Amino acid sequence: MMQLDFHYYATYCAAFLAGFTHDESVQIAYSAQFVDCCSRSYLVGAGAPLQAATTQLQLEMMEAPTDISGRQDITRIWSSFHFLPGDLNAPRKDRCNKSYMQKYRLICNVNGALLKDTVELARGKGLEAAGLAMHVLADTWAHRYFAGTPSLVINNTNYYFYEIIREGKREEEREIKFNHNPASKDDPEKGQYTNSLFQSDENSIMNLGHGRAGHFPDYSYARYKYMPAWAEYKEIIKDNPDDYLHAFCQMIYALRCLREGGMFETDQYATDEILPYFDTIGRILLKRRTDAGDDWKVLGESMSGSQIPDFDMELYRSEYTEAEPDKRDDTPFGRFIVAALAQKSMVTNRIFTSGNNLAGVSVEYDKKGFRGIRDFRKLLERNIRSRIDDE
Amino acid sequence: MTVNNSPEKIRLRKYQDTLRIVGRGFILFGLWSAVKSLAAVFLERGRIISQIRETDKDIAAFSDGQILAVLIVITAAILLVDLSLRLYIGRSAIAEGKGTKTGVLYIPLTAVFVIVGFANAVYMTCIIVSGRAPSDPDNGVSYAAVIIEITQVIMMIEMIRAAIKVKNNKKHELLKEADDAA
Repeated sequence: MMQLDFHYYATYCAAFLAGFTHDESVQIAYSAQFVDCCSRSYLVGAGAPLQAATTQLQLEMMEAPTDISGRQDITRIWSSFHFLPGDLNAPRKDRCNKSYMQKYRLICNVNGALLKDTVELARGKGLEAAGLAMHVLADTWAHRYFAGTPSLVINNTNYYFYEIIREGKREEEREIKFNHNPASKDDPEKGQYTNSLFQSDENSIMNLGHGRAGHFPDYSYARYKYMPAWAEYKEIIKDNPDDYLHAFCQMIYALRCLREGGMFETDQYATDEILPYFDTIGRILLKRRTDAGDDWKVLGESMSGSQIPDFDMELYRSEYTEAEPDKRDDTPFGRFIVAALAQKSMVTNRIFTSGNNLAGVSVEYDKKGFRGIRDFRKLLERNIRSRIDDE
Repeated sequence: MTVNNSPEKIRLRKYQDTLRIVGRGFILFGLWSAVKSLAAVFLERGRIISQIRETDKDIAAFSDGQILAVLIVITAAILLVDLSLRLYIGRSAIAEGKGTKTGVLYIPLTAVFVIVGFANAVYMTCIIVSGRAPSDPDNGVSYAAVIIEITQVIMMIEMIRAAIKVKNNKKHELLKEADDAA
């Protein structure tokens, strides 16, 4: 997944440029980064609804069953928060069966209809929902061309993987030979990178998301060329500096829409706001290192004149656990949980109604009466309360 | 840097990928054959030695151990030649798939393997069709062996086809470069 440098510090910068105050920007940034921390294990410890999980730890994934219901559970989490499908109604490809097409239609891409739904879902729901939406938005740029479901035929990569290194006007291709030791760190200078081990089982957890491309999608400096398994021998060039810049500008635009009230439209970017910082942002994105957090933090602090606190995933837990049960949803963590449930519910519903069962069954509880997972009753009750208040 | 996804380039990548996969498969099949043959010699040595003694009375003076040693040496020599050829062919196919320079010798050699493999598959199929028990040790034929032989033949035909396509593509590109230079 994209890392703390972009999800936390860059989101802070985007929020501030969109007109939010320092404190509001911190809240939004916190929520954006927290999407990468809110696992089931964390929720168990907090006594929070487990269905609000927005990520899975490595150990959780290792233990996750890979039968149909297990895969649906994995797909719900990863497609809803990290690999938002770009086109659920992509046209059918020749000589491809239904099973393949269902996976193909989950491929993450930018500016899809679901992105608009994600941003609009956050409208009026607080800073936590806005931050969650920004995480999803940013990940559509970083993780495009991979799917949030375990699938070898979609997510696999092979020996055809080259880093493109630009020096001035000259471009050089460097073949990447991944190693599979998860304990070894990536070294951009030496061109040493890790990826997940090849697993011939179609539904292996190793074939989830961008594991087979290692951390390349998460490095803002990386430009690389590869052949994804779904592309049928077409090569793709991924230009992360360009994509991350688009993500940043789109976040500013989206946050401005949420703050000022305009309808969010896809493929729109707030470029004027970044002009004073264009060179600095360019330098941050292009610098070859695995973590650009320090530079983004310096930029954010220079924008606002205030210190950005370090990310602390335990910050709001005690407030939530110590609150009265009926008051928990009004705490920052509680609001994040509601936003996560709403996002997951919306994306699962869209996937299901498109005729795709990879994320499981979705019941439109407000039309057909509540059936299903108890945690989502929270969303129903909020909707009912909100309708009563409007009346 | 721009992507090159012309239909010709896509086809070339597909053939190169085929060569890499099939080249590796060809070597692995060779290793499997070697292991199978050596295992057969060791496990069936009693029966083989008795058959040799029945067919050739001149070797009555030699002990079972001596006959077995000669058998192993001859088998190993044949397997060494077979494995060497397979390694050469497989590695050439993989190199062709990677785009590095290779000769053409491996293509007619593969064709020889295709002919031998095809003949073997036909022979084994005839034994099965004729009603003789496929698991009869005198036949050395089993359903699995026939399927594996046919698989190998198909694989080798694919290798030849892909290799010719890749070589033609290279020639075409060289001619194009020469035309452009002129």
